[in-house]
Amino acid sequence: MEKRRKRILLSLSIPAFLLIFIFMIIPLGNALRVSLFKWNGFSQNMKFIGLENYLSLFTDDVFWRSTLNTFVYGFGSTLLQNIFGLSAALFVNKQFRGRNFVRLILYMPIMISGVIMGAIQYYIFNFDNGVLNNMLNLFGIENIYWMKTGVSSVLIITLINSWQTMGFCMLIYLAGLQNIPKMYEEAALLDGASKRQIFFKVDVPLLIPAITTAVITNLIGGLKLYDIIVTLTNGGPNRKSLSLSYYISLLYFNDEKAGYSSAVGIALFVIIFLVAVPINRYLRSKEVEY
Amino acid sequence: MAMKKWMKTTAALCLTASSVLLTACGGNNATQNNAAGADGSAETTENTADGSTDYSGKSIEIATYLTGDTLAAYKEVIAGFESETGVNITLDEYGDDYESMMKTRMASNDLPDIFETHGWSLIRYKEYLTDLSGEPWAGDLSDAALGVIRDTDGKIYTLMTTGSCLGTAVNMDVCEAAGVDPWAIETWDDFNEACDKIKEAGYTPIANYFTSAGALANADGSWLSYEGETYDVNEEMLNGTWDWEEFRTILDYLQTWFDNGYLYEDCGTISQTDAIERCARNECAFVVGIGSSYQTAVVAQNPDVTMAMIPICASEEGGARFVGIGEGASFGIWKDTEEMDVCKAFLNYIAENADGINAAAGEISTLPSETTKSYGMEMLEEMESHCPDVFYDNLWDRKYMPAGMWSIFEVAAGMFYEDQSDESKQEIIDYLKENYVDLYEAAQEE
Repeated sequence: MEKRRKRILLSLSIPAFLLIFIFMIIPLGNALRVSLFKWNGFSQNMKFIGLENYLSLFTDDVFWRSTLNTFVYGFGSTLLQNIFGLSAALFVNKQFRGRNFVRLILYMPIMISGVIMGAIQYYIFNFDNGVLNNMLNLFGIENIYWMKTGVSSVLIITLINSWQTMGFCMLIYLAGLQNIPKMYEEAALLDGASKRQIFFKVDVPLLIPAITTAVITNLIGGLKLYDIIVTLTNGGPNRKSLSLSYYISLLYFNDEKAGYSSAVGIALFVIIFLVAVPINRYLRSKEVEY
Repeated sequence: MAMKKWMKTTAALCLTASSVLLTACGGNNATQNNAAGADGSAETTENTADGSTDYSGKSIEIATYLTGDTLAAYKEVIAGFESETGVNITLDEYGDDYESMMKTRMASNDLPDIFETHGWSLIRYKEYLTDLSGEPWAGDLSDAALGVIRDTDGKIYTLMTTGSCLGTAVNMDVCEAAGVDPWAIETWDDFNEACDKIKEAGYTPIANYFTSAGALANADGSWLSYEGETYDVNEEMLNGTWDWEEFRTILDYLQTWFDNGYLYEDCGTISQTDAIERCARNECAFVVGIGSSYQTAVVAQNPDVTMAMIPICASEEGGARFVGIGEGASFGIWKDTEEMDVCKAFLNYIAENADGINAAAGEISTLPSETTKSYGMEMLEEMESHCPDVFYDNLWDRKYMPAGMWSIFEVAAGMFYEDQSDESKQEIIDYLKENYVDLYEAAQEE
């Protein structure tokens, strides 16, 4: 019986495995192959150079800067999204008039594509005639060049990405909060626990599955951030706000360095794998049955 | 338990693998479009009553990067050809993704039957294109066009209906308000004097943006390429022996733009769209090394603005002021197309009906069939009436640099915006030289 069940489950998963094989495993293998060549991405001539592309990573300042930015986008966004997402979920989990409207408003930014969000924010943070600077001008404050340095650009991108995807995080936590049986909170109240104690000692441990989902999803989303950067800063100034995803794309299509681009792609694969797997394992170990 | 662990590891692997998709998907994928003539329908080739050939049942695929009015004009030409000949045309509108898509299709050696060569018919696309030098319209092309698209064997691979004309864009209203006569500007010293006056009058003299290679690459010929200029190093640049230290002259000059406050403070992060908007608001005077489509876009935003084009300055008194001519609207045929006759007939049709496309593009017609003078042509004629001694040449990077250098200049422009110190200049020169040598060697191996 058990064998038959396993066979059915396996056959049901075949379409998914096929898709993964065609759209992930084959491209991964192809990227590994291309990374060993010097190739402009379109010529019929490819020159085998072994591991030279991988060695170039160590002396490429833009790669290391983009790696650092990628971590900021990944971890920074995850931290902000989870703090604000959980706060918003706690807020909209209460009973009040217009609750559904507030939920909708908080969730709306994620329905806008990243490319459009970046373009909108560009006109908000623009130095000349930007909405934000125009508002500051009303208070007698002179224009601020928000995107002048790489650091400020990276922080602004992180902030916008966090704000945009906070609604998704809120939804995960809301579902998590609504799944917590009321009896645990009531029992804690009877035992004389404060609201703060109930939150940290009852709600948070029972929210660990939701936290795992939210953290891993946000982390991978942040580490792969691409679209907002393209339209907001285009990776500038001087390629200082690039994420590794955008750097890969620029190297391949703009700089005509397809082999090196593939090597950066493999590096990003390894980075995300090394980051996501231990965090996932740690959070899973903290989950409790109830 | 082991099964669960295995599933988790697989899921994690799949999630991380998706990060590599960006890179790998560009490798060897075919596109979603049907190849020409693949529908298997019955095909006929007869002459119709009006003299055109009937290609009913045949189909071709065309790829375009055109957008807006120019695309609309191109679609009209396509519709006209379809109704006259019965050909079924599939038009792939790639827009901003055009170059990426074409690179992907070149990698898989599966190109559209007809595609635009946008300045790269010789350097990038030649090995995929059909020699068109025997076509009826080839003899009608102007010398300026032939100088740009003809290779050393005398072959041409693209029908170039317009030339992209590159000089210095001028907002005449701003210049007038500042008391500057742009037609009197001959050398870079004159240009800086004009900029000083414009700045004093409260305007931003130069709207160049260092997110583009324009300032570094397009104006270089002024120092490097022509007789009577600071350097005359054509041969060295073409045979890969050029001493890149001479590029410091250009960086030293560009530094004066920063030191004298000629540029916008955010010139390191703005785009051409911003420069167009600011010029349309009469806030700035010049953009150096830009095509005439810039002025067209400014006037489209604000028809009350008077724009003009002046040549790129000479480095020294008596030197050559020059205007770059590059491929504008240009159409080539894939050498392996199954419908060569139809494709050639389509190019003949474009050559006879290119007016609408040329007018919308605002560039300079290279065919004698033009009946409506484009805005670009009007500007060029005005410039020639004021500056009769202008020297025309192909765009500097396309003529003297190996393929792929444009994006290298783009990076260098960003580096220069951030730091104009001597150390930074040396870094930029080293960066340019390293990539030039690399790309030059790769081009020799092709």
